Amino acid sequence: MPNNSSEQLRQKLYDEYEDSLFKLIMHDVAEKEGRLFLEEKEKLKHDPEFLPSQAAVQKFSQQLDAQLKKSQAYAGRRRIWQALNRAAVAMLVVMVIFFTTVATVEAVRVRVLNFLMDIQKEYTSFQLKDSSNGSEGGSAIIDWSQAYAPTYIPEGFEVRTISDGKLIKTIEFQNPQGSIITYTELSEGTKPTVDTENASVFEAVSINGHEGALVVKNSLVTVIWAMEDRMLMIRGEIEKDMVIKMAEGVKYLD
Amino acid sequence: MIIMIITALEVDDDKAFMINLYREYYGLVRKTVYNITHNADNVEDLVNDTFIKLIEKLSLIRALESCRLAAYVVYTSRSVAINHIKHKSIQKKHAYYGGDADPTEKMPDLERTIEDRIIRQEEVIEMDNAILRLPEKQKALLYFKYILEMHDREIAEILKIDPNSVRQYLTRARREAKKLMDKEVNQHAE
Repeated sequence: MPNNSSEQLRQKLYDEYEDSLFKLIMHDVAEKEGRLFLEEKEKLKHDPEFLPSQAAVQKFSQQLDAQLKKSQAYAGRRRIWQALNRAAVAMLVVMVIFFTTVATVEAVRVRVLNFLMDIQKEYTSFQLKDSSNGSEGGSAIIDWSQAYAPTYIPEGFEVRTISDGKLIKTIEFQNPQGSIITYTELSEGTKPTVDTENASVFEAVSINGHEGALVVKNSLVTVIWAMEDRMLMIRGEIEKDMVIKMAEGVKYLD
Repeated sequence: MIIMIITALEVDDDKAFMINLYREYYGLVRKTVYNITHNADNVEDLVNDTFIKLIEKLSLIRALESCRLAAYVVYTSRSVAINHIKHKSIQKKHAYYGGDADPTEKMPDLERTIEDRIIRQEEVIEMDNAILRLPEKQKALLYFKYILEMHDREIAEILKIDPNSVRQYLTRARREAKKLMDKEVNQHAE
């Protein structure tokens, strides 16, 4: 038996050797025969029968476009897939690191969340970017044609006051029972703070795909989220689902 | 966005290369295809099929120098034409390559020792000429395997043989080449 397996191995190695050798030989053969083909190709160029017509070139060009588009789409899908795979792996690594660290050390939890917001002991401030130092001003007129505004208002609430500042725009709604909901639009450069000390709820939310935070403290519900170059905030002593629904109804009015 | 722009540029470049290749080799491919199919009706389609098939190996053929490129294009067109015949009629195909008997019946004596079959370095150059004199089918087989780097399954499909026999066909072709080479060397010696 050992002789047999030794012979088989020899045979296998020989086959591999012969494959490599013939690859080399055929490389030279292709050059020799290719030279003859090139000569023939040049001769055929003088024969009109062997020249492509304009229609033939055009037809081939169309086929080529279709084929290259297919290859391009395939390559594109592959690139996206590879990028997604890389992103997924990176995200997984980040999540594992974050969850491992955040879950174990309280101090680190605050530092990690600071990437989004500045959490202090008594309050949390939210900020987008530093901007120009324009002063806040007030105006009695709101340009409703170019502003964000809530399109859903909980039943029974009516507009009580409106203020249209350069940096802060506010609308106050009130119902007959005296409950107030405040809608605020804050421009870049403003830094609102929300009382989050001992808040019963303090969680991240997504408002129509935009990142935000929900805070509930002593029945006062606040939702604050970023949208393009501004922050929007709604707060009131109503159900948090109602506040979220109102936030999701905020639209840009042309 | 940048990826899209780069991809678009690559596509334009590939298209220009392929159109140029088409114009350059149209005549040679047309002649090769016609010599196999003897059918003027579909020669144009098979010419286009050949060049479309070459797109799959674009990066390889871009790197080939002119002689090897010519051989690559010609043997690709042969594989396309032969494959077309296969779909039409097996008889026609045998007519091109000749009604070949099962090579396993006349296999070279595999019992010979490996040392007997080893091709020495000095014989390699002689072997080139011997391969050029091989029957078309055997030469094409060697091209498909070693230049076009086709899988055994593809070769078997084109030549209408059992995929498990491809290696035996190859061995036979190589032996035939060696036999031709030995014959030539002996003639020179005489």
